[in-house]
Amino acid sequence: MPRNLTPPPGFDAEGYARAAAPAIGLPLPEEAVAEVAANLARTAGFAALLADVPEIDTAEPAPVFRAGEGER
Amino acid sequence: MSVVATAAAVRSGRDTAADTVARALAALEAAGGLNAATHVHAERARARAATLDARIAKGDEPGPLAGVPFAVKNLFDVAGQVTRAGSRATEADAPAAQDAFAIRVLEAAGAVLVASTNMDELAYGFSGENAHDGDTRNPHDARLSAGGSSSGSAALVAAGAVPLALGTDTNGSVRVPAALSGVVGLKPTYGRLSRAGVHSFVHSLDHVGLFAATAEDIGAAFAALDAPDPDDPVQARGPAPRPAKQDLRAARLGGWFAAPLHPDVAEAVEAAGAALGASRSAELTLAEAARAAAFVITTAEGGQRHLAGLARHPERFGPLVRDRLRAGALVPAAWTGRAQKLRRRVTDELAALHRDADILIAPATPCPAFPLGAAEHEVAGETLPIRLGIGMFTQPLTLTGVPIGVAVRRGARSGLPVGVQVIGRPFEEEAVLAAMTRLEREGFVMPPAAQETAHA
Repeated sequence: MPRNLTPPPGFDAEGYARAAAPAIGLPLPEEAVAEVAANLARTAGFAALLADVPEIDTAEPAPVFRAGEGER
Repeated sequence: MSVVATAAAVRSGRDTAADTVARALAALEAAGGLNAATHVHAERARARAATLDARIAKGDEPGPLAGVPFAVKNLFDVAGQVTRAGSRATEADAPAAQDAFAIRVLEAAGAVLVASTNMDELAYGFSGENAHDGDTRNPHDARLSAGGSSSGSAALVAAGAVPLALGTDTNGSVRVPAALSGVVGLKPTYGRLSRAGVHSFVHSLDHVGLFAATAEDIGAAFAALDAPDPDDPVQARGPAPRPAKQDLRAARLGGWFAAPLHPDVAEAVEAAGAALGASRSAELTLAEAARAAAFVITTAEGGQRHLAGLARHPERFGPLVRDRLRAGALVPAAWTGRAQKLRRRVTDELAALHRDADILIAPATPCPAFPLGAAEHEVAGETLPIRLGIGMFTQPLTLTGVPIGVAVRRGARSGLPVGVQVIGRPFEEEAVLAAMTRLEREGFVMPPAAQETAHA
């Protein structure tokens, strides 16, 4: 059953979006900020759930580059 | 008419490719109200059919799929046309130089491309609603969603307009519309089918998939599609295909996959379990986290994929995707890093469950088709947010890359199709299709929607 996920306390999605957008070359019109922040807050809720998985940070990530695989 | 029957008739000379294609073009016209096709390739299809018939007349081998008309989601490259991916964001792109690999191999096997199909914009959605092209309508009830994002491909097969269609599945975009439109679907093993010439959405998760009326038809088309392509750098070749065992061991996925379920879906899962002798239930404990990881990877990679477009011409993106993609582009690397690590964990956990079961069974969606335009839908007394909820059973599994078929039947209460996911081990598509054939013998069949109307 899906839980209602909440972003980490103290996460200011609007402030983050405004601050980070120039760093990736993304124009962020003022009228878009609220909706973009709402989406980021939702994603933050999902990401917070991942942080609760034991020893997640030391796990091997899934996509592993294999040298030479493209040479066929 | 089925893929197998069409090809047999054309190969034997009982029918011609030209007549088969002409009937498909007429059926596409008749199905126009579904808004499922965005482009009908009539001239190209007629020319191709004429070439095939000439080869057959000369006694040349026309291929195992001779004369089989098929449609593709409009994110597959078609030579000479701009690949739209259901968006205006692509409108300034150069026309495709050649057909997508999947189209080339199907046509090399004798099949004939007849249409490109409607989809959720940039494949980001489960409803088939599109701000530019209009909404795809469910052939079983035009007020309802056909499911998405490969909405038009599923709807055309469900309406009987084409026997075969291609889509893509990132979080469930083949499996959800298969279930909601009532057609058989297959999302093969991640990397197995070439994605060359397919407009990408989420590189880590995109799969090419298929729709048809039966598992046999899916198998016939899959055999042609399953070919090495040096132009796809992530294509993965597994061990040599093995024929499916006679005694498939099956188990049901419980836990996350047990609720919320519309009674029609719960009964379908029950019936599939009984048909496959699945007495055991297995739990994928990381399912909820896997779904979260798929969500994070999707929004982040999708946003990065379209970052240049969002900077240059944001007005060309529809309102259903624009701000989701902007937000995705801003996702911190720490979130996606954990998501990719979770992907490894859940893949390992599913492999452990597959040690004791060749096939795992799970619902495809929590409920049958929902009304177009709906934001929420009640399922078993719970209010489910459609955009987040409809893919809750497909999304965690997509992350593992295993092959998954969808078998469908009519729900007793709703009268609408519902689907069950048939989940195999990596590269064991044969076992998935064998299990689905067994389900078809046990009542998992939906006649084309148009025929139902005719007989009503």
